[in-house]
Amino acid sequence: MRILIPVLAVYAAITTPLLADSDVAASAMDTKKIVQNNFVETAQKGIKLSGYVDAGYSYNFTGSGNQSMVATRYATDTAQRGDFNLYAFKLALEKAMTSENKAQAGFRADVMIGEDASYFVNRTPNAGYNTNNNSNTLFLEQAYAAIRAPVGNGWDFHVGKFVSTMGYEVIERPANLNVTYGILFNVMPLYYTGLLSSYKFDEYLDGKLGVVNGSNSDNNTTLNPNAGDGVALLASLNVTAPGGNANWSNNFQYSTGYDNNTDTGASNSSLTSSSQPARANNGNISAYMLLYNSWGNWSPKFADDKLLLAFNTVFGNLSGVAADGPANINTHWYGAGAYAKYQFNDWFSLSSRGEYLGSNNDGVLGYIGASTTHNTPEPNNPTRHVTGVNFWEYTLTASFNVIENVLIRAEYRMDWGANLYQVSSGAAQPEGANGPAYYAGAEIVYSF
Amino acid sequence: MTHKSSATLLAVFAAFTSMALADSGPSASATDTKKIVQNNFVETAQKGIKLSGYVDAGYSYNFTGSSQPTSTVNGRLGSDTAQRGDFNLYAVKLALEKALSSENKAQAGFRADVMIGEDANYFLNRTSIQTSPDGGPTNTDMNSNALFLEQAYASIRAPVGNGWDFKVGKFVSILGYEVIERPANMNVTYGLIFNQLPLYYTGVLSAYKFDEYIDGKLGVVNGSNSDNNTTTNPNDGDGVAVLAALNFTAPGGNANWSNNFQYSTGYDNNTATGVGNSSQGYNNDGGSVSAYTWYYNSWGNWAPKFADDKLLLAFNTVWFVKSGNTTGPTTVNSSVYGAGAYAKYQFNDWFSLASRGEYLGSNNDLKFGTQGNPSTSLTNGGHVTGTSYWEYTLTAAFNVIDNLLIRAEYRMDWGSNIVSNGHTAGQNSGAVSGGPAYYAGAEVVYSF
Repeated sequence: MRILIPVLAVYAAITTPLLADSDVAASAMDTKKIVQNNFVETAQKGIKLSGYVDAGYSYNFTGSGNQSMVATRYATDTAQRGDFNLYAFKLALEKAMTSENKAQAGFRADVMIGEDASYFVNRTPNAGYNTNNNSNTLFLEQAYAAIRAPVGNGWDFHVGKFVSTMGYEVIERPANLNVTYGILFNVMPLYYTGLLSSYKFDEYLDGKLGVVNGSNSDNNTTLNPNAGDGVALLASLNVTAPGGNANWSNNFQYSTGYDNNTDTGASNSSLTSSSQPARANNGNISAYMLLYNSWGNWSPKFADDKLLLAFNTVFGNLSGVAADGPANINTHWYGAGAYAKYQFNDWFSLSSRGEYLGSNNDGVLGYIGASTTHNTPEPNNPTRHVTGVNFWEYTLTASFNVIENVLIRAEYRMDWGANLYQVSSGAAQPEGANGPAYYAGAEIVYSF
Repeated sequence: MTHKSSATLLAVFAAFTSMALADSGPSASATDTKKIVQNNFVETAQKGIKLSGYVDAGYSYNFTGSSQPTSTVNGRLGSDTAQRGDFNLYAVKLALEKALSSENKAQAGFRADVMIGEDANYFLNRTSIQTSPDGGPTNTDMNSNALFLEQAYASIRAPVGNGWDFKVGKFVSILGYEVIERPANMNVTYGLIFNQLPLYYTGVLSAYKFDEYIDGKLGVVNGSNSDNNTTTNPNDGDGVAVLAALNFTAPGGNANWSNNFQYSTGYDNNTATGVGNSSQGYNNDGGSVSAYTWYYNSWGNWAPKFADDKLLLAFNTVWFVKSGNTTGPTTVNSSVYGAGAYAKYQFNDWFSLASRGEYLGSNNDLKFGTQGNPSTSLTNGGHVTGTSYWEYTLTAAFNVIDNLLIRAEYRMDWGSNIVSNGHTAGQNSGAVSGGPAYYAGAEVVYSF
């Protein structure tokens, strides 16, 4: 998660003792009692626990059974018909580094338990039909040691597992403008294991460089038979406007081979919520992948901080030659989204999101969008070039902050596009329906 | 990234307040009442409950190659034999404890240790296709989302004599010089002997300190690495394992000698793999065998006074015997024996070098599997000779920032067909290699 959740958590941690349980809190007159108060002790100071409980209800108007899977939605967002959801119980433990530019270290660990975790562990849809919601799953979102080298303005390193540098939306639903995840979020990497460094050049410019195993992988990315040792490289350049009311973030990833997904291994690489890529030939392919994401947001001064506008884009390219197939695989996918949020008053806001995602063939988005070609699976034949995979969605979200630390949201969403959802069972269904597929849902989050 | 939150009033407020208090952790100064009152902490029903742990991440390079079966080095834990270059989130560990006080009175406490990360995946199941016919996780099955409950026990002190302590629940093995926590060992990778010793037990363990120099332990448990009853011996109504230890501390406290013993009445009924794959061997005829196992481990360490606490020498040994009759005609009688020597020199406050050399041998294939024995088939009783492994490890450790440990390591393993090259258990096919198999790695640990 980027920043909102720690911030929310700190806010909640501060306000909770003061407001919720004033009898425990400790009168300033009773020093001895306070010192003897019972709490979880740690060897060092400044270790903070935060988190949230995120639950809700969703209604999927496309019906029941796995025919109701909507390709553009994250699995918990496409549960069949009406479904109560325990999206996540999240805990974050952190010893943050101070603002001082000196040699120092810290750590952060984020654990998610719940239905979302089940799909973050494995996003391939045919491994997790929309009837497989499972709240007993553990997902280690992050666990890293943070180190600052006092070089220049301070050069920071994260070593371990950390969330993706890409995309405007994050894994934490409450930190996003909408309840459901967007189409672009679903084709972005979730996490990496490796090394990420960041440097703040000045007030307006900061950058990142990293080397990792690959998207969503604890394994080495060694699936390229022509490369001795595979990795993914990360780079980011972020610009902040004077005044701090606008940001522009540019993020880049290059993988030397197909990602070797932790859960699904070589046969189903990890990039997308669909079967990425359907033509991976069990990963035995000489390929590279590059991904570029650009997002920005702007809170216009004239709107008195009540209006927030944002955009999110992605361009990906997967290119290479199958080890035992005659044809090149060359798949592009591209998408853009626009966001707007208006804060009407202290307790009510409306957010809107519209997105488009397209691809030149079915290499990334899978069969479901490819209506022009028959659906016979051909795992050793990566030549099935098709056109016209286009997805759209529009989402409207109302947010209510009527009680401290509680966020209540209601949402309506529609998705449409090339064979968006299945009308009969099976993974590869060119006989799908184009939609629109409607969704309605509500969410309650308590953050601490 | 800090700007995704900029639109919500909540977040703005939170950002403000978090800035104000970000670096003010709990501090128990009775003179600063106001500061204490404003502190936020996790409350508990009683005082003295401590949270500790670490984040342990690193990078390893396995010079034996990239394809899964051919890059497995049999003497190493799964996460230490990942194919080629691999970033690892070894573990995020959390320990919550209410320790017993030093008073000799009736009292109780508890301790729970949880590990999440790639090591946890292999602690759950240490068998592999090389050592188990049913197979366990391979060296491409890195999974940082695995949860391993290392310990969870209630501790009780009976005010008898000098104080008789009991642990009831799940606790780590009493055997061996190395422990499950990598940062507590002299080297990053686990040794050959560690990989053969039990990891944990579920049962009762009592400890008594006779005087300053001698203490002992007695216990009764299910068996090694087993939450199940050890009832796999058809001639035995109810199986258990019995534990005993006798430890000596030198006057001055600069040397220890620990002697540990375990006797299991039958094959251990492993939690992950059940009776078909006991944790002690694999050629056990599906666990339907009348057998017993005993272990003896002796280790010691010495920090010579003349070296001014800069030098630490240690040894570790194991000898265990499994004996009994299978339901078939053949007697199973297997001995495993090994020894290791350690030396560490602390050059200055921030730099040390540690060295480890180990040998592990067996009189047949019962423990190590057929990987080391291509000349004999599994079905003839499995008696072969000459299974011998060696390894040497050199580790440089750097303590340059508070609470942060950085280590770099080089290791070589060699011995009876120690590199699998496609060999699977139960078969004598597949090329094998005696090594040496080289490894290089680095590790970063933040402890709190």
